[in-house]
Amino acid sequence: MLTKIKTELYRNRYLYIMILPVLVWFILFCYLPMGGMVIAFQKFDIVRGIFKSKFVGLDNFSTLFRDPYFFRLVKNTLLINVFGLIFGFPLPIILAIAFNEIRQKYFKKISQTISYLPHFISSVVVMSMVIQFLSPDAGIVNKLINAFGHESIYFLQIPKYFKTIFISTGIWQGTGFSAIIFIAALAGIPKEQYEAATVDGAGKFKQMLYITLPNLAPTIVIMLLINLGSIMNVGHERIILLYNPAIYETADVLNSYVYREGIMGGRYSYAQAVTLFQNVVGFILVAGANKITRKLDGTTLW
Amino acid sequence: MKAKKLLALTLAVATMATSFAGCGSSDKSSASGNNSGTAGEDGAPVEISMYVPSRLADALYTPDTMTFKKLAEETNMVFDIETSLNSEAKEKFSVVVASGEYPDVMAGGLGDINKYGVSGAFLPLDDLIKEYAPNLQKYILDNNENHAQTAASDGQVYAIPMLTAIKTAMGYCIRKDWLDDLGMEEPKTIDDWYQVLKAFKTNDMNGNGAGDVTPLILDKAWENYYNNFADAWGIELNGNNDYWMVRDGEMVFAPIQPETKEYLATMAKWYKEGLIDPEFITREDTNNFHILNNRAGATCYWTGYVAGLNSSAEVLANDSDTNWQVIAPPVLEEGQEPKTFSQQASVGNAAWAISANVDEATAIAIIKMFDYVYSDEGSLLFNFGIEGESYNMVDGQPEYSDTAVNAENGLVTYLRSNGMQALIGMRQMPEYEAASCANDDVRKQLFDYVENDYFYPLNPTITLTEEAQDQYDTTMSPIKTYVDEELLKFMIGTRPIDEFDDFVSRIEEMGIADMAALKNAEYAKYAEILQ
Repeated sequence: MLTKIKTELYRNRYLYIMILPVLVWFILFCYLPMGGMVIAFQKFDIVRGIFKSKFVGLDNFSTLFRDPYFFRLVKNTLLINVFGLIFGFPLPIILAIAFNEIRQKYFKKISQTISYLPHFISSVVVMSMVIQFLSPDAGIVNKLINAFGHESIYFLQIPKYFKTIFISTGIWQGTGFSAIIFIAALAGIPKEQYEAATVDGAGKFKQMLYITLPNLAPTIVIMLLINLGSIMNVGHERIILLYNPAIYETADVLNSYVYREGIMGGRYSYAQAVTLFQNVVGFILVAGANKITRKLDGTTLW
Repeated sequence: MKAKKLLALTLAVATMATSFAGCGSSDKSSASGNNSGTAGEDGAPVEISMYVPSRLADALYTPDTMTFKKLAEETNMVFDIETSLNSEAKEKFSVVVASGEYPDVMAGGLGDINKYGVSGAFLPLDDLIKEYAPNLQKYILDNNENHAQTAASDGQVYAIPMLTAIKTAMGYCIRKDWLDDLGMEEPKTIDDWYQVLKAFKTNDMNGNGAGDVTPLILDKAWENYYNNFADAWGIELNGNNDYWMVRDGEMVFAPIQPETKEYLATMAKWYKEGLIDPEFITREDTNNFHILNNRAGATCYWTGYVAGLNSSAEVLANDSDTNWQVIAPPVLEEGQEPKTFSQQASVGNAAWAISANVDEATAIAIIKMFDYVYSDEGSLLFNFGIEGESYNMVDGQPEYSDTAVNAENGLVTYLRSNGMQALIGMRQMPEYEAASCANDDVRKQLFDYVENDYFYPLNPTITLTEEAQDQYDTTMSPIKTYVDEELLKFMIGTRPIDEFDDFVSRIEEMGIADMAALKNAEYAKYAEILQ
């Protein structure tokens, strides 16, 4: 057994040397720090450190589950993510297919570049732009509404608008960039399949339906699985830049609440407990979905 | 999206790795003690390391910075200064302390120092002060108000704080020239204010047509202190202090007081009639936006800042008659004493402390150095610098020299880059505040509230013991979220004021009585020192 490993190591030594830095990186920056998760079960004290802080079992979790706002936070988090998936997930696929069909090469390159530019704008800038655009006083959106003879709407003070604003901002910012992975997958589809289909008399639409989509399916499934993993996560930065107390009702999510009441107050253990909870839920969902997709068509993450 | 997540993950992981690494080494350093500081009995200078946040990015402190160089000379010490920009200081402070190998002297927020001091990171200073530091004794231990505000939850002093010179914070400022245009008096009561604001709204004040002016500016987005007018009802609704206030000798939760209902009803009316900026919740930098564009009638903001805008070129370009004046806080009925809660506590947030890792001789040397900074001589050094260089004595009063006043980027920048007004345990001098005012009018306005004593007693920030804090955090987080949310809803009218009683009973259900008990247990200690 040992000799077997030795010969294997020796035979592929260059490959192993090449992967070594990556392994070290993962161990140093991903696996070792995971030990830090233990503070979720402690009453972490910054002076005493991880090794000397007192263990409190599941106290931090019970604080979370007993919080009067727990259900509102989970509801907002899930709704933002589920709606985000429903409206946001198909768009990059459609965009990728559309780009794929463009024959004019320069137009294709230019429009593709434009489509993923928003991704590189800082969230701080994007959210300030949104606040400016929606301003009842001078915002372009309300100027339009006024032009049609209606009163200005205080979008960011009325709870019911928040999710729409937040999700569409995310879509505007992310669609082009998310499309890249699908464009790459499309590039890998053998030309012969399309040629054969053309010979068989399939039109553009039929080709998309019977060649493009089935070829994309594994990528789509994997992207969906990855997205499911973060279903309990909405990045707090973008929320905090856009929300205010008057619309907590629909805008406050787990991450923003924990940031406000946990991190800002130095309650690191509590914040870690919430993160752990989010990730465990995410993991269960991904594992479950993975099982289902394996049964359905054999595409899996692992 | 994914790249960002990966970045966030890497950062998070890196942060955790740092704290992880830090914890491993903490035992080592406490065991070996600190070897950098050995007190010089034979007159050799004492070497100490210190962390002090710098005020300006392009003038980070070094041992050669004017004030620190002089301080080292005067106290026969050698400083090894570590620094970072003030805006990053809070984060840096935690990281450095968590690493276990922190400098002998750490400057940081008073609350942070007390928190980590109780956990054992810093030396308790009471005994050292009594023995070696007459100035610290005089200004901290013997001054009950300062002592109460400085002491940590275990009653001991861990930090030497910055003492502020003047109480003035946010004042009620109004366009005096517009009042004159309208032939109106300075508003005294809440009803007067309503009439004046209404007049600002309905008349064409700035020549852009009636309605262009926002009569009253409140700053929610930046300061999170926007319930100034509750002053008239004797209530302080300050979210930065979790809405606690002292009433009849005990801590009460301000939002559930009956006066809050009347206050909110008034604000809701003003908001509905457009007297308050309709976007005050989301508008950042609202004061500059409105004042610089000649669109503000009145504001509750930093008195000195607003007064200074009278000579701003941008303001004068819009209207050369612009005259902002601070006026007395509003009252409910004529004849009542005008008072405001907005004030600078005499004990400021900046402070410094001694690491628990230093040996006794070094600790004594450091406390003597702290004491020097609190002395009259030391105060002059950190407010005015060095005589003949940055200031001169004129008739027994310090005055900034021409070098300082005519410095390239202005006086304040000159002071900050030379280490004056450093964020350490020093005493700010009123003369400094007065001397750094642009002109006599600004000076007069800045000291107006002080001279007339327009201040309610300070509502202190009470720190809890460790166990109490746990219980407090758990119950108070949702209550605070609820109050933040509902106060704004009442003000902008998305929740009718008739539901105020439901609001109160909801807060009671959430357990405010227990929280008040926790706060009062600690407040009793504070009040005892205050006696």
